[in-house]
Amino acid sequence: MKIQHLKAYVRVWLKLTIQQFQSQVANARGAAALFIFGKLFRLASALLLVYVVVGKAKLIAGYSLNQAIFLLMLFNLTQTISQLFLRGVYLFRQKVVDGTFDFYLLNPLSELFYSLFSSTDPLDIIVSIPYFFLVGWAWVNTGYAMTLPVVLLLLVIIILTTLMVTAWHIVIIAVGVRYLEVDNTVMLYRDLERMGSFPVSIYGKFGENLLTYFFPFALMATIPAQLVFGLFNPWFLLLFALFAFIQLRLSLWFWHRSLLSYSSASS
Amino acid sequence: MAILEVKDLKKTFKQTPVIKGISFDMAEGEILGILGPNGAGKTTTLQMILGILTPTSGTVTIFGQNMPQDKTSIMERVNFSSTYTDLPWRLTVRENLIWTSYLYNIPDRARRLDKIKTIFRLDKLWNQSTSSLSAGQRTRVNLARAYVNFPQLLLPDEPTASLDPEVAAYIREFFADQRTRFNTSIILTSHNMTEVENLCDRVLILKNGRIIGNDTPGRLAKKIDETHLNLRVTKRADILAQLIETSKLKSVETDGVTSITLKEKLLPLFLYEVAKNKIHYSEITIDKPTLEDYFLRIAKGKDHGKSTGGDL
Repeated sequence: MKIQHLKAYVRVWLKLTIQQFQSQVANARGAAALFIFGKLFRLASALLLVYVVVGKAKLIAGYSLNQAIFLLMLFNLTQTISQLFLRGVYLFRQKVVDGTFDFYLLNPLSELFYSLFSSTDPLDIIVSIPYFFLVGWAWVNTGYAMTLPVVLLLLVIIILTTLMVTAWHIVIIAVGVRYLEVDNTVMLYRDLERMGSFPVSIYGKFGENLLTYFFPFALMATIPAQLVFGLFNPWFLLLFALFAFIQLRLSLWFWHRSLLSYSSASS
Repeated sequence: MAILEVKDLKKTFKQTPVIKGISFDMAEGEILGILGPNGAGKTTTLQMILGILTPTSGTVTIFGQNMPQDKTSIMERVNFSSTYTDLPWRLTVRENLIWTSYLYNIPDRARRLDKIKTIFRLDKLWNQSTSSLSAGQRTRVNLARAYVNFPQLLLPDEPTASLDPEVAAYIREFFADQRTRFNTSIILTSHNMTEVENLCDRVLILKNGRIIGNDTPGRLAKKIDETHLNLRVTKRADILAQLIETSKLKSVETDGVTSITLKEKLLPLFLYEVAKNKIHYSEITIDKPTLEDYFLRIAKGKDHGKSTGGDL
C-alpha cells in the first residue's frame, strides 16, 4: 500500500469516527450514557462473579483472587481495544441489504476497510481509558513487578490479539456476504470470546488448546497474565505472530471467496 | 488503444448462468452504449466492470490493470453514477461532495469542488440537505459526485432519467464536451434510445447474457430494412390501394395518411409506380429505421434483419 493511500484511509477513518461522535452527541446522548453504564455494569458483574467464585474456592485453576481479577481486567482491556475499530461488523448485514456495501465496493478504498472500520465507536475509546487504570491497579495488587519489558510485551500481545480478532471478524462478515447472516455468528463469536475471561486451563486440555491455538482468546488474558507471573516464555509470542499471520491470510482468502457469491443489493 | 478489455466474462448465480461469456473492448475517448431488455445482463456486466461483482470466470482489464485485483488504482480513475444509488441523506450537497473528495483523495479540494459546483449548476442547492432534493436535483448531484475525481472512464446509469429536458440536453452536451476535451470514455446505459443514438459511437446489445449486437447505432438500425412511406393522398387513392395489394405490402391509414411498410431498397421503385399511376399526394414523409426499432425487434425476440417489406 502506498503512503498516500494510507493517508487517505486514516483521513477517511477519522472523518467517519468524528461524524459518528457528532451524531451521538447530537442525537443519542441517552444511548451513549446507557452504553457506558452497560459496559461498567458488565465489568462490575464479572468482578462480582470472580469474588464469589474465587472467594469461595480460594483458587481458580491455580490463580489467587487478585490474580483472577488481574486476568479479568486484562481481558476487558484487550477485548475493548481489539474490537475498538471493528464495530462496523455489527451493522454489516444491514449494509449489504440496503446497498451500502455496493457503495463500499464502488470507490477506491478497500471494501474490507469500510466493512470493518466504518463505524468505530468513539465511546469505546473513552471506555478503554479507565480499563488501563484498572489493569494497573489489579497488577499492583498481584504483587508482581511492573517492568518496561513486560509492559512492551503486553503491547505486542494486544497487537497480535487485534490481528487475530480482526481475522475472525473478517470471517464473520464473509459469512455475512455469503448467507446474509451476521447477528448469530457474532453472538456465537462473543460467547466463545467470553470464555477467555477465565484462565483457559479450566476448560480442560482440548478447550485450552482450542482457545489458545485456534481462537485467540487465551491471548486476551491468560497468556498476558502468565507472562506477568513469569509462567510464559516470551519467545512463544513468535509462534503466535505466525498464527496471527496465517489466520489473517486465511480470513482474507475466505473473504475473497465469499465475494464471488455476492450478488449485489440491486440484483 | 483499448482502455477496457472484457474477455470471456461469465457470471453464475447459484448455478444459473447470467452472463454467458461476453468479450468486448473499448477505446480511449469512446462512448459506448449498453442496451438490452430487462434481465439481459446489463447491470451485472456493469457491476463486474466496476468490481461490485466478482466474475465467475473471464477477465476485466481497465487501463491495463486487472479488476478486481487492482481495484484501488483503477477506481481512482473511474466513476459511476446512478439515479438508483442513494446519497447520504443527512449530509448537504456540499458535505456529500467533500466526503467524496476524501474518498478519492483529491488534492486542492476547494478548487475542485468549486469547479464541480459551476459545471453542474449546484449553487442554489449547495447547502441544502440531500433529503430535501427532488429526483432531478438528486440525479444532478449524483453526476456531480461522479465527476469529483474527473474520471477517465465514467459509467453513468440512465444519467438523464428524471431530469427536465433542458438540463438533460445540457448533461448530454457536457458528456460530449468531456470526450472532446479530455478524451473521457463513457459507458452509458439508458432507456432513452434517441440519447443513445445521438451520444454513442458504438452500442452493445445484450440478450440472455450474450452480446447479440455490437456496432454503431446507425449500422444496427440499418439491420432493420423496413421503411415507412407516409402519403396524404389527394387523388386516385383506390389505385394506391391496388398498388399496395398487388405489391403485397402492409399499410395502415391514420388521419388520412397512408403509411406503407416496405424495404428501403424498394422505395425508389415504389415511388416511381406512384408517379406512373398519377397518384397525387399533398404530403410525403419517410421514416427510416431507428435504433429503437432495432431494439424493439430484439426485445420482442424476432430475428433481426428479417422484414415484411413486400416483394415489389
